[in-house]
Amino acid sequence: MGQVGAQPPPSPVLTQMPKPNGTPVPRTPEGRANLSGVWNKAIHQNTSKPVEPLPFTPAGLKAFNDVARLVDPTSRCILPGVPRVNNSPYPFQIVQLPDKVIFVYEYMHNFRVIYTDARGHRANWEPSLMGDSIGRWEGDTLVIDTVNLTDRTWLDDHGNRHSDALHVTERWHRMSADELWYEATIDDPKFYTRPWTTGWVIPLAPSDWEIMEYACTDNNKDLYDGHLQPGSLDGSGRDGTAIATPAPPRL
Amino acid sequence: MRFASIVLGLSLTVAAPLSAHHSFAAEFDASKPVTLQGIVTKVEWRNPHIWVYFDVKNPDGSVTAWQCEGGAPNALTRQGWSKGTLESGGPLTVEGYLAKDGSKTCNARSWKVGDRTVLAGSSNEAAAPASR
Repeated sequence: MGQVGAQPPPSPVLTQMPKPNGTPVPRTPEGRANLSGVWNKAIHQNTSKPVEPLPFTPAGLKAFNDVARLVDPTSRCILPGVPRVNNSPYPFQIVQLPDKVIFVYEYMHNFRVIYTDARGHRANWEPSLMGDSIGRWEGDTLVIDTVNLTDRTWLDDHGNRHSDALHVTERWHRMSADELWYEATIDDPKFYTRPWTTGWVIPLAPSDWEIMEYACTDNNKDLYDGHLQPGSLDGSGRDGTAIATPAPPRL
Repeated sequence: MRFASIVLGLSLTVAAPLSAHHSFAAEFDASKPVTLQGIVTKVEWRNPHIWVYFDVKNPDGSVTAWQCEGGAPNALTRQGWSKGTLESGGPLTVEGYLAKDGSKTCNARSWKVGDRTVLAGSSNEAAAPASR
């Protein structure tokens, strides 16, 4: 292999699904759209970009600006939470079954099992990093409802934040053979005065890609060699207002 | 014997903009691109991204030890690289950005060994950016 293969640029963060490319959507024997496959990801560092400034509560604005003095939890190998788990540069695999959809994430060797058998949220789970998710099908769209998250994860590299009141609604829709639409609605009354929704297109991975190991805590130079830095991973700054100051430009 | 060269201010022509590194803005200077050629002395194939150590021979014959941070191991594997691709004692060309602290440290955006080039990683590509 000589030069690295060219990759199409990722779709930007959008407020609604764009037009599919027209290639056929695979279907299950029962006729439902099949989300199964290994999906690539391109990271979207600021998932609030098309809807900025966010409708902050005072607590939300403070949390947003606190980022300047906090280390991103993923830098310490804290699982990314929801929806951030669907926004990282490592691929993931979807295995769709009649009563559940399994997500296998390369990033941090993580997974989600989303039951679609009409069960409700669990009464006895403590708050967790990945929350309590259940799913349902609305036609060909998988809708995932997640509650009971801790406040220890961030929404993205930009340092968008959430509280423990976060309720995430995700909508997954396979647009075509190789495009997967993902959108997340952030409903967090402690930090935002109203819900906000953004999404992006996730491309199918090359056909020979398998999910590999990513052992975040093993052999991690940043963690052990003192490279952790406070602030957002996208380099944006904070000045106390609702819009971050931009990262220095690159040539 | 290959002559080492350090070219400051070289405008890189990679079309896709790179994502910001997790500590890039704090550690590295986006206005200081650099091209380095040297001989590999050590490779740390580690998460979240590799580090490559190499000796650069200066025009006056002296040698400077450099270290550059690169892409993610899994992404490099998918691009056909392995731990052994960057072998100790082998030549290497790095394009990247200089550290702000004045040390001989860079954040690489591409590695070139012979005629094989791999990008260190970009949010616009299948490879992971240097932050992960």
